[in-house]
Amino acid sequence: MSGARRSPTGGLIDRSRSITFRFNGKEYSGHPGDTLASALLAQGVRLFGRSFKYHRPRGVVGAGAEEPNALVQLGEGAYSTPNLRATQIELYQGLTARTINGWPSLSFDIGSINNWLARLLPAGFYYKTFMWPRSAWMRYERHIRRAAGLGIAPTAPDPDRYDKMHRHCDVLVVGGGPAGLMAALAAARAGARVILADEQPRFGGSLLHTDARIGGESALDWVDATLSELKANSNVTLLPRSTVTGYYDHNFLVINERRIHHLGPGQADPRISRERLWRVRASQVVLATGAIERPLVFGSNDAPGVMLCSAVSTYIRRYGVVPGQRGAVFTNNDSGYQAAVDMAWAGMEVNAVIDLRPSPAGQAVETVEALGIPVHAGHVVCGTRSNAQGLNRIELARLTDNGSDILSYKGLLDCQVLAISGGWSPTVHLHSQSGAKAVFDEELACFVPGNSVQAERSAGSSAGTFDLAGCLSAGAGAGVAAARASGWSGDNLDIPMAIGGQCGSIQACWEVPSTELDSTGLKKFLDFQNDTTVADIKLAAREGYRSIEHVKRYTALGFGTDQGKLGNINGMAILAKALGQTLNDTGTTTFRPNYTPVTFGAISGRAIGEDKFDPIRKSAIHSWHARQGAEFENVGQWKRPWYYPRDGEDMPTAVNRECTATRQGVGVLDASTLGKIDIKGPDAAEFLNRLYTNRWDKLQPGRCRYGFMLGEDGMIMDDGVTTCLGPDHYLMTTTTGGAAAVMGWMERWLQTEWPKLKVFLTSVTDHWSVMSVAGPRSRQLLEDVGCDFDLAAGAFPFMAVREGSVAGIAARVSRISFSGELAFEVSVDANFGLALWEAVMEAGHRFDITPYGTEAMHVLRAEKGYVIVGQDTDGSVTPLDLGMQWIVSESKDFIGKRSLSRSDTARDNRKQLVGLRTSDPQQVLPEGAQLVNAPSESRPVPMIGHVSSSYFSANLGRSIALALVKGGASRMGGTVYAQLMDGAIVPAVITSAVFLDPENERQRQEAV
Amino acid sequence: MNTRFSPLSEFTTPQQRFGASDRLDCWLEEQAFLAHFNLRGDPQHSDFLEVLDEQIGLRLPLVANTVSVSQQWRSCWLGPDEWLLLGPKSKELPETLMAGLNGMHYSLVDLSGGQTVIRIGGPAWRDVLGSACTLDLHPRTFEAGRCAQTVLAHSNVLLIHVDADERGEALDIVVRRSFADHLLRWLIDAAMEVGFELHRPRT
Amino acid sequence: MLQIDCPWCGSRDQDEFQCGGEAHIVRPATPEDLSDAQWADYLFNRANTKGAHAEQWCHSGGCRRWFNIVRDTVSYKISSVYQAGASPPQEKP
Repeated sequence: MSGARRSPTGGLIDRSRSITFRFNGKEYSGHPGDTLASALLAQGVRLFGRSFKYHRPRGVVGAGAEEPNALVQLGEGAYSTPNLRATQIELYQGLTARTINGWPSLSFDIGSINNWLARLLPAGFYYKTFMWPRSAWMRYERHIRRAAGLGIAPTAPDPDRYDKMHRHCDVLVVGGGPAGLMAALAAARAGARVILADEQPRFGGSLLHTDARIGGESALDWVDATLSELKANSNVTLLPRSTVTGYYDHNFLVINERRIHHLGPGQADPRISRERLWRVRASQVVLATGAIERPLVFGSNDAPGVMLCSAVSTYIRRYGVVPGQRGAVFTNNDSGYQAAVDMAWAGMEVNAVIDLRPSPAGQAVETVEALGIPVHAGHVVCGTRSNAQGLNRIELARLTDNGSDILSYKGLLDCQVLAISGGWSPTVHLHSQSGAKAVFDEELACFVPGNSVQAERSAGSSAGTFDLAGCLSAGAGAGVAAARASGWSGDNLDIPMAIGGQCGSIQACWEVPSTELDSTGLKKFLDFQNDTTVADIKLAAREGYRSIEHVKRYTALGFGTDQGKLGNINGMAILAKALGQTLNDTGTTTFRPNYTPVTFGAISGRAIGEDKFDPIRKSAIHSWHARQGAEFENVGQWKRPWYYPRDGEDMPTAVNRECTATRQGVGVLDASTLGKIDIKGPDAAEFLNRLYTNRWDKLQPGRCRYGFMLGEDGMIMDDGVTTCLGPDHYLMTTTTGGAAAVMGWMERWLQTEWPKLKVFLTSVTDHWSVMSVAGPRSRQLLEDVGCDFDLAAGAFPFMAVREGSVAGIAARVSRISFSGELAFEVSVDANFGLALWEAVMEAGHRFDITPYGTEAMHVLRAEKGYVIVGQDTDGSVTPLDLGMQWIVSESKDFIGKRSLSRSDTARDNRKQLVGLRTSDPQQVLPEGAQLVNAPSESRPVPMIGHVSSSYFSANLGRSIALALVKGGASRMGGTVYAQLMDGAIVPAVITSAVFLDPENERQRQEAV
Repeated sequence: MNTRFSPLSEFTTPQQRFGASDRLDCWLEEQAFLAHFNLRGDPQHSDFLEVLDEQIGLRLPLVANTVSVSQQWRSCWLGPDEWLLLGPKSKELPETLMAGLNGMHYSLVDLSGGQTVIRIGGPAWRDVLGSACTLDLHPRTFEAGRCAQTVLAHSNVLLIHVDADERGEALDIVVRRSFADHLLRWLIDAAMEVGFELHRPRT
Repeated sequence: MLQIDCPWCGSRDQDEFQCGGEAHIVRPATPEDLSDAQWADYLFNRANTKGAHAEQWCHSGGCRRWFNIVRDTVSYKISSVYQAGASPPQEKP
């Protein structure tokens, strides 16, 4: 047995209450304040998983975000979350978790056979073996993934809520340890708006597991007093359980707050979001993110029981866990000695401090020696031995005087807990994400923040200041400086005196020497999660890799969910040495967001589901359509009635009925969604002349005209009818989907290119409800509804506009038609849209009035050969391609005109709009079907066009289609072939695109 | 007399009030049927400013993102040559205003049917807005007399600080008719955590 | 997420803006006089600058005004903001 147990007293846990939970199916207990890792360690659990590649048994190494091994699948069913670090999971009653690596079981693992096949699994193994032939990878992948086991995403919908919060602040302090607390205090006292975020449930950082004293009181008392002051300040926002995961441009940072995880699934107030993503724009940022202890790299350094010194101290002092019976420390610096003191304080037998420095000296050494713990200077741990519970012995060796080699082996030492410290790596992740470059400091043997690129400053151990007094002072200084930089004049703080927490010298060591070749000796692990070893890095260097970015991808160093927080620096240093470079030459891999994984729920926030992902825009008449049981179609963000099925009708039946009724009686369409732009000013006509292909200067008030708008490339961008409302005053309509873009386009020309034109634009899309009343009975119907102006053809001609009253409502009525029928478009203030619609429907009873949807609208206009921009055009179609030369003015310039004479635009075999008739009148070609000249041509068969619109026309009793065909205008009567998805080949004859009433007699009705 | 329907008059939600505790720290209501006019003109033209002052007693705000208030009208800066006039329910503008503007390059467009106002108040309204709004709404920067156009829950809106509501500090959100339903739905979802009450539209 | 100083509204999030690409491309006064190649140059060819880049932006989610900025395409630092129609500021020595 390892001898792990709970200490009788001490720790920041609530011993008065017990919590029961299950891990890998077995019941355990712990206390509030525990993490899953601390509770399990206290009950002797040492195996937390199997490694990714070799399936070696692994235990807890760290005590926080850096943990690479102890990954679990937490919770059940829809609440289940993969790949969480047991070191960060707060214990709650009823928690269930299981290891994610360890198929088929943790104690007997078939995958560990990989361990014996290690020579066959070098760096780049996957690339070398599985990527060729490609089909083989497909076969292996599933098995490899199952054996590797990276957790399981739940399939049920997430039952929890997520949200976001936007916030501005003067000073964002990242990290609530000694430096961060001082920084927040200093900035808050200066009057600044401060956010202090810390990833842990409690503020304090390293002070949560120290015996140091601050200002004459215990470190914890000082933390509590500081927090009380911060809490009392309304300008301070304290965010515990909140990880600053990303540092983006212009001081924009993202914080992931985990709000209810610690309560357990389903336990929190259902109104509270599970996670909140804070999106913070900070004037200044103080990075007090601390440092992560580095492992030492020696043979079999992955045995369960080998832990970071800081983790051992944390488990002992913060969680009251005695992690084993016998311990030892292996270090290259003074800070590791604290673990020996703490282990002794917890009652463990501390067998040795093994210090690879030849002659360590100073207070740390004296303190340890005073406790009777032997210090082996100039020695190393060169290997470990394990039993079923993990580590049980370590192998000692003496280094040569220059430390570069093993001089002699000194035998084995009993040890269940080996605390290791290879020094500290400042957590420069956010500094690097901000665009700055960390630089290697030879004396401190670590990367420290370089020159700031954004408004940020690092303080405390994240800046390489490792002693407590220095952290307090640096934090205070950074807080004041940040407050001042954001416009506040703060005074310097008195720095409370710190006792303890000193930091001494370090002798860098990236790899403990060994006498045997790496590949045959004990493996020295760098990246525990990906099983990347020293040998892998060296192999990569031998194979010619030079860039750390390439070596990362070849060896998978730092590719795990921990993103190499423990192993990367050692790996980089080993590569640098292998390449004969300095660490600054080799550099680091790029630090990217997120610092720790963020759930998709947090990223989506509340923007999920049909009603919140994107706006659903509804016309003022929407509720009527819904009450009638209309089926809706999405057009841009709008919901438009698609068709109105009557009892038992399917879609074709309903659409045929709506089409027939409109041509024979009267139909009504809700056309409110079309974009509408009010254009006013003395240069409005000139502006329209420049925008549209046709002329506008002769259009009289009360008349309207159809126009095409082109891009400067000559391609059709939008179309619509524009009305002259009065002198210098126009109302433009645009397509439904193009409204915002057209408005923006017009403003852009006015503001950037033609600022001298006196024209004002106002979007009035939402102000007008528009109903199109179409069909031979439409005039009679409107007369019945009640109009205070003459609707007769002579008085109200085609393409004219009248203002007056319809059904007692102030209205504008246009005689325009998209259906080809006699039609009136009635526009009223949208507050009265529903009233108008209902009045028309009421009056329409005697005409059997038929509301029709967008599908019937499409069919009716296709019968007339009217195009829909975006359906029959696709950004590569000019008005000439549509055979609409008549709308293109020769006598003026307009946007896109020059492009119409470019050689490619002017050639005569461009795709041109035509009609298609299939020989079988019942056969409706699928829209998008590709057209060919002859199906028998050798492959690849040249495509000569495609079907853009295709319907069954009830009015014509046959199918009709519009198509874009190469040189189609000169191929009337010719045959093309549509190739369908099912392999069928359908011949169709090219015809005019106008299938009905080519003389436009129905819509003009001038003779009536 | 034809019935008129404001953009949110048919809004339905399962809960008009929601809060697990007794606290309802946010209220929302539609300020329906206000007069909305979009005004554009040249502020360099002194006659233009004078006509508005004379005819409806309104001094147009010339500082970006500020509001000026007259007896009946609120005028919000929308751009260097653009304002929103928010007025009383009877949306008639005096004929003399149009006559006074005649001959100038201006545009005065009725948007009363195309926009509405959602008023949000209560002690937690800033937190509710914060879930969607990237602006700094802290009292230090967003105070009486301020307005701002921004994007809220995918919708272009105008925010107007309200200090004259008898229930305390509040915010008017001017939103286009077709986006109003989506925006209110979003705000209610965001307000669940603090507890909300949806009042009947004020008309 | 950039923060852009609208010349009218002040600092706002990038979300509220649209980028219009390279600034100071003037539409030819008489397009008909240009060769196909000259017209294509106006239409399609852009400098694709690495470094200080003058570009058009519109505060589309706010005051709807177009303006220009000089933005470093490597660091994303915005060195100046100026109104549409104004000349780009001279580079500092």
